[in-house]
Amino acid sequence: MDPFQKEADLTPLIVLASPMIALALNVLIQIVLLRSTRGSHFMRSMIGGFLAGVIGLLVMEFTLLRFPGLSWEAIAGVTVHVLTYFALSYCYFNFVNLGQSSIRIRIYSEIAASPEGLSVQDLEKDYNEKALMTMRLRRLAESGDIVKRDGRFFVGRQRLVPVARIVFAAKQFLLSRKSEFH
Amino acid sequence: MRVLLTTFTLLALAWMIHLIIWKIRLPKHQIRALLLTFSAVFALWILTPAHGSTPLLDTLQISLLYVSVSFCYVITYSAVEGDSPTLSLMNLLAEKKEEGLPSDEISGFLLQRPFVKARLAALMHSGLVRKENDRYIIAGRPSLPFRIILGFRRLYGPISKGG
Repeated sequence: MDPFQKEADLTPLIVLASPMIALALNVLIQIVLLRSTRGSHFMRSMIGGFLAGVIGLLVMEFTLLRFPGLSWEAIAGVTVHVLTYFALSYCYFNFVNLGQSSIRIRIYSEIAASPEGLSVQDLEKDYNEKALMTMRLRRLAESGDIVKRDGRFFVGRQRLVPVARIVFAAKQFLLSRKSEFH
Repeated sequence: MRVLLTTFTLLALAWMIHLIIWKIRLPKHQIRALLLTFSAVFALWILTPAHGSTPLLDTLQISLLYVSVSFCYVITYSAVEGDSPTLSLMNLLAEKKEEGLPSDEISGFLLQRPFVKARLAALMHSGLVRKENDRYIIAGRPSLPFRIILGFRRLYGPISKGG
């Protein structure tokens, strides 16, 4: 039995919209959490919003949709909704993260806030290449991703290494180069 | 089951076409070309008899899953297309293993990958900012996606300065 076919007669809009309703819940909770901490716990708000959406989605799947027992079709139906929700949440995370951490957005906002424009020197006060590099190295060292011993840097925690390897393997495979500097 | 199978068949097809195009000739505007490829595959499926027997509700489910997974791929691809200094550094250090790298080599490596100049160049290339008498000023209205990002960002409070 196709769960979508059966439920289409009863609650077709909920069947279709459940991942989007869960995403709306995710966005709402994430904004409330972030504002309640005055913007100081961005990642926690993202995780909180995401989990709220997962709970909302599971509640909808198992109460409102009333799947008729455990069948492969029912599992496939829930899988579609869960995958759609995960995909939408990933898009939302990247969209929000763009506004949160993108240097491009920050530079643009600062230029937009200055009617006479900004000189290179003005921008270098806040976006000095060396200062950004030092800050990046400090963050990596503080998080334990890199360690310094006897004046040399080494990989510390391994968590970023597989990500880097996958990205560079994909770059090599798709673009036939390791980076834009090769 | 039909929704999952159809969606992943379409995604696999779009990905293979993207791969073939990329191997023949790398597009100038890669993200735009990627969006076009994924949209074209979906449009072709809708317009061909292959879609004919699919019920409306399944079609809508397939559309939602296909579009959201496609966007995930495009977002992830943008990380592959660009060059993340952090990931480049981690990759380099992982290659050096026990040998490691001295501070001056790390500095040189990261300074080869400019943060600010590259982003200013991208803002000028996309027509959002222009340079006049050695000053950077806003050029016209920002694009809709850019305005949405900025508008949404303001929900959280002011955008902080610096990196």
